[in-house]
Amino acid sequence: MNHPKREEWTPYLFGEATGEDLRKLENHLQECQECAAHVESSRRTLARMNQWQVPPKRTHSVPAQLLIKWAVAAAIVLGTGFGLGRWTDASAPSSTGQGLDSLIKASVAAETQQVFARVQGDFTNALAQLETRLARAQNGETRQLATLLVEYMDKARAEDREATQTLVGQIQRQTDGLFLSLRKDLETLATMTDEELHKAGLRLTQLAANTP
Amino acid sequence: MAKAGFLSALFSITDEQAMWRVQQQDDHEAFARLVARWEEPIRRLCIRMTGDTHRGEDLKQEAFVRAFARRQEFKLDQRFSTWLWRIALNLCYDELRRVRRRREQSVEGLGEEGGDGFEDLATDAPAPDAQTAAGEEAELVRRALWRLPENYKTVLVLRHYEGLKIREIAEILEIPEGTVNWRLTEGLAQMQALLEVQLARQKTDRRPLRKDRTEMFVL
Repeated sequence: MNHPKREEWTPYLFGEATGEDLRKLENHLQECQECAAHVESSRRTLARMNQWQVPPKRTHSVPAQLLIKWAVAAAIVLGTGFGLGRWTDASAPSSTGQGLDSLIKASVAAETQQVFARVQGDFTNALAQLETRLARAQNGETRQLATLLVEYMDKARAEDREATQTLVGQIQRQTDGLFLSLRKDLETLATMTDEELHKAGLRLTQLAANTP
Repeated sequence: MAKAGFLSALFSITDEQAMWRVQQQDDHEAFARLVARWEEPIRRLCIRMTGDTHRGEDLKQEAFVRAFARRQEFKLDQRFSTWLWRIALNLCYDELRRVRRRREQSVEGLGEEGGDGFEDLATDAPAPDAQTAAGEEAELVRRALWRLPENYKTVLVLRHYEGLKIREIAEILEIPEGTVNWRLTEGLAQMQALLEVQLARQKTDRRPLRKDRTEMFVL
């Protein structure tokens, strides 16, 4: 019998054989025990390889102590981010916004502060809660708490975006002419905040990588 | 809020668009999105290539640092993933070479490296329950893969674990598809042989489980 070469079975084994090739191999398999055995044992090997799964993220427990440090670090970094954003907003140059209505700008600035204070407040509360729980955490629970921390950070991030978008919308309604210059300020604010969040994330990852 | 989409637009951009932003504006947000999309596959690749979770995670981190540092080298007519896989693989190769050098020096110091290289794959645990058996099996696969020559390991990991097509692997490695197919064939055959040797040992040899000798050099 004219057997297909060993390497001809490979695309078939990985589900990449098509058309005429596939038909030919399948037909051969029907009538050749030798090749059927080869395919069977190869499939067994692939199935055995599946036994080694790499679970997402880190699976071993992180000491609660370290998690608290992360949380505190994140809070500080976030605080800095929002602070910088606010400062940028308040002192933004108005080169493109000549004739900028100071009243509108003041109201937007106040709104900005209000929204960010709320977001930051929520996040700080969440962190405080987390910290309390961490202090009580058993080893088995630390993994779950790590997930929680990540969730909180994601939430804070999403809220930050939402707040920025809401503000931009409001500015648009008030005056289209001033939109561009103000949007620039807000963009800077958003970028800086996001950048700080990203840095916080990186720092957390680094800390995690240093865990024994 | 039609005009307010400047941030939400980031939610649906392609890898290449994101990379364009990273190149043009050093856009951290765009890069963060690329990291979020790709860190798990890159992490799995690095762990499987090095057989070591900690090292794999470090290498993943390094891969993204390198990708950002070399962002201007990325050509916008190629696929971001192809470029990223290449960066990660090169880091894995460097790491494997470092491990091999350390190991050779160690072996010189000890004066010998005996046997067929399989002897440290022996493993056993008396009457394991189902869960332990699965864990042991995973360990055997990890060790067998570690033993596989780099060329074979790379294509097997990308094709079997990461589900890349032979064509895509050929593009990443810049070799003909036929070569990828051949390496897959040979790699799978060697993997089968390695796993069978272990299985046979597991049945006949009831020595207590000990650490893979290679791991001493990896860790």
